[in-house]
Amino acid sequence: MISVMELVVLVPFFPLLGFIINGLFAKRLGFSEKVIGAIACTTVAASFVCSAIAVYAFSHHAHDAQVQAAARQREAELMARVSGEDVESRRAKEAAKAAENPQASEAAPEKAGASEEVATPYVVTLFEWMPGGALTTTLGPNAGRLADFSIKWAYQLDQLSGLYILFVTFVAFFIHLFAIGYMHGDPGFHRFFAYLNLFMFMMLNLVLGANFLMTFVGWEGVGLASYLLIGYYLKKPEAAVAAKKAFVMNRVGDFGLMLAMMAIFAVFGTLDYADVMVMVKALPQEPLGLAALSFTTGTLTVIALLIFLGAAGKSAQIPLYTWLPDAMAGPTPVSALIHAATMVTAGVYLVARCNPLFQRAPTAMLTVAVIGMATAFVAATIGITQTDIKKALAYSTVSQLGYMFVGCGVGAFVAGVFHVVTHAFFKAQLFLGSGSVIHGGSPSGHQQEMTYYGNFKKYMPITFATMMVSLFAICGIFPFSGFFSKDEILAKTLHTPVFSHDVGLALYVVGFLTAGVTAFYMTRLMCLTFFGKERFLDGPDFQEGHHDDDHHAPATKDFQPHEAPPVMTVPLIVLAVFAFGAGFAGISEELTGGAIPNYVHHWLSPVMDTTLYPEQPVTGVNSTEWLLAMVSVAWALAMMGLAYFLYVVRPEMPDKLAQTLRPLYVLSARKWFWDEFIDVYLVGAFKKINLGAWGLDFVVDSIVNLFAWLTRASSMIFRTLQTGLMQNYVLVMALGLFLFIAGMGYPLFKELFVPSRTPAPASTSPQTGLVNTP
Amino acid sequence: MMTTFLAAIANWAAQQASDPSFMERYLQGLREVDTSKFLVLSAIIFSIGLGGVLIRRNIIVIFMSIELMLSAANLNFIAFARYWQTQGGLYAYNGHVMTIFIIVVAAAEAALGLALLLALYRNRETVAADEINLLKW
Repeated sequence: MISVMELVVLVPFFPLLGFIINGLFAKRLGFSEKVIGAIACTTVAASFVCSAIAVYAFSHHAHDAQVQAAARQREAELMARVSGEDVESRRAKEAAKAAENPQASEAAPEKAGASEEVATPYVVTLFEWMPGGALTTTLGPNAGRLADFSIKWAYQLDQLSGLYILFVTFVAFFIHLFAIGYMHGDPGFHRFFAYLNLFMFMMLNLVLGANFLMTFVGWEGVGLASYLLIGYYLKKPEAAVAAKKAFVMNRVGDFGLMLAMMAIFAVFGTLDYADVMVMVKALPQEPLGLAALSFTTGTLTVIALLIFLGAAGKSAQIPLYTWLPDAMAGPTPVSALIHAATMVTAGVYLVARCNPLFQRAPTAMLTVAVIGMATAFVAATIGITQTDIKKALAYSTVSQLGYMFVGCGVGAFVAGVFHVVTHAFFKAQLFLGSGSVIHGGSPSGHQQEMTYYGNFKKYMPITFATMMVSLFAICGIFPFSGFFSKDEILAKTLHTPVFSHDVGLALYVVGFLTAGVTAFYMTRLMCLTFFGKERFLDGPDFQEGHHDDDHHAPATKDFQPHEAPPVMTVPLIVLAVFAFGAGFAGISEELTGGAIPNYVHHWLSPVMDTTLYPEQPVTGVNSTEWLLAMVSVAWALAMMGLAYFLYVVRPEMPDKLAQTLRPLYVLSARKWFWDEFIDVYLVGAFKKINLGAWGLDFVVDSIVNLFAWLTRASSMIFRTLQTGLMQNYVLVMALGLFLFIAGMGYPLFKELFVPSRTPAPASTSPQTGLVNTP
Repeated sequence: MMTTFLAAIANWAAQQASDPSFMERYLQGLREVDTSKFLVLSAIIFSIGLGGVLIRRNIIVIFMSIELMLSAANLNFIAFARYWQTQGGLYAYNGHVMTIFIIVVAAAEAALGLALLLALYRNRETVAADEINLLKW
């Protein structure tokens, strides 16, 4: 039976179609910008429609009783396979447990029907991609089992991937729309949209892939698209350098992910999410601490840490975060789509996808939480001193990604994913807003320094208003979307079930501070851009002797910043609406006492494992949560007010403060010297290692060269066989022919002329087969 | 000595001719020549051709030798075609067709080869096969 859910297959392929049309034919056939933009937008819109229909159908499918029963059956079989006992004995054990305390079993069915829904991923297999045959698993409790290495090109629709494809295609559509206006007149218009569509294809592959390898295809594909788009401005050397940096740093993370995949196959004998995530549940939780860092005592911990290394690379976490701010060398829509809303959240997706695995590896959870929090704090402090509007937003993105990882690390995977969604809206909106500012803020349309902005609210009212909405969202002001997601992460951090209360409190305090810093630097960004003195006439575009690619003479002083055309402002408005309203889908039930359901939580709960940390039922309005929420809103408002005071009311103050707090200022402005650290200690060390490797290289090369020399020497002898004399060749050929015929003919000769001892059967006439009947 | 030898042959021939059954036997022999005789003749011609290709220096003579080898092959084809005909075979004309085909190809090859040879001579002022040895290590 063909289900409507099969539309999910089309979701990645529409953008691929757009990529093929725009990439191969747009230039040759001379498509106009309108046609190219229409193709790119239509394909993404079609993707969105398909995913909406498929997800809607899936929401019914997931609650179906038969589907649930089948999924439970399969889960029991898979878990039995790992734990070594057969299904029957496991059922008997469960029944015995139920008989022991009948009260629990009486209460269970009601609850089980409502909340204990198991994940029912809907998998569409297109073809078998890598039929590998039988292999033996080598690690873990079922080592030595035969496993069928068979990787299928399959798409998996479940609650998590469904949510992801919805917001990815939705946000991407509006960013594509914005890009039509932003890239207007660019000579590489078709190339840009082809890359964007390629990115969409790969991103949807990443999210929809039904196994680790499919995700990895998308993972590398978005890396490629990111590389191509960061380096889109071919004439800017820093763009090429940034593209290379992004690619290389991502490779470090990808290396971890590859190792993780190999280890997962070695343990579970499969790479399918649906199987791995169920089998993991049959394994015990591993200890917290350094003891877990080995394959014997902490298989899952090592796997989870390797996965997180990959996630840290893609999602720009310490120590691999420096590529993201540099990636701002690409066009602004790219920054909005790839480096804020979608690609960089792939790491969070992977961690959330593997949540049963992470929950059984508390060491990895702690690593995720601490790294996330450290990244959030460090990036936020760097954001304070950035003068490039896009760099400031980039550090803000890194910081917010840190929050998402904190959410995952403390066991609140739903909150982490929810923050991904709200962040996608408000950060995409902020980037597009900055694109509008860059576009209309200077004669060349390339000015990114906030020192040459000021008082733009007079010239760009729509951009200003929409960006203010996102500002409130990212600062976490009630009732904007960021408030609900960020506050839930912070609340869950404080009450984390995974670690002790002290760890939770420490993480919470840093997170709370970071929220204030976020409010400060985001308000600073807005103040420098939209308030204060008009400084745009001081820009380099107006200076004598400044030469831009587009403007060879200094611009005249009657320039006025202007609002963007409707094709750009409409996406701003739509995204601002969602930046405001998206939070209502996930209002924490602790705040309302369950009066308003937390839709996001209910939607995602089947894919989140609750066997280790069962959820506490919400009993009523939690006054502590309200207090925490009000304190953090007040704290954010206070920091916003401080920023407004410093940058609008007393604009001379920041410089003085920077003088007073010189060491802190330098630390922030030089980005905690992390790039320098990498250059000196990592790159320098590797250069030294290279010197040693050169010696080894020499030895190895010598051996290889010896064989090369032997080949050469022997050919010196044998090449004299080639005399160039035609008759020599004929002679050899004739001799060869003679030997061949003689060799072939000898048995025949023997048969015909040497009398054999056993006479041939009389029935075979010598002429049979030779003679045709007349 | 030569004269006596020739006279002996003439004598033998006269004797044979005077035999009344000679013509009959001659025609009979022509009708019933064994296929192997053609094959032996073909092998001899082929060997002469191969020998010429191997030992002659002048490329024109080598060409002629090649033509000999082709003729030997033709003879082979015709001999077998004749054999099949006597056996009443279905493929009785394949040999003839092949022979005509070879003749056509040989003609084309000769034309092309001689043209190449002419060009070679204009270039190198020689048609000696052992002096044309540039194409080597």
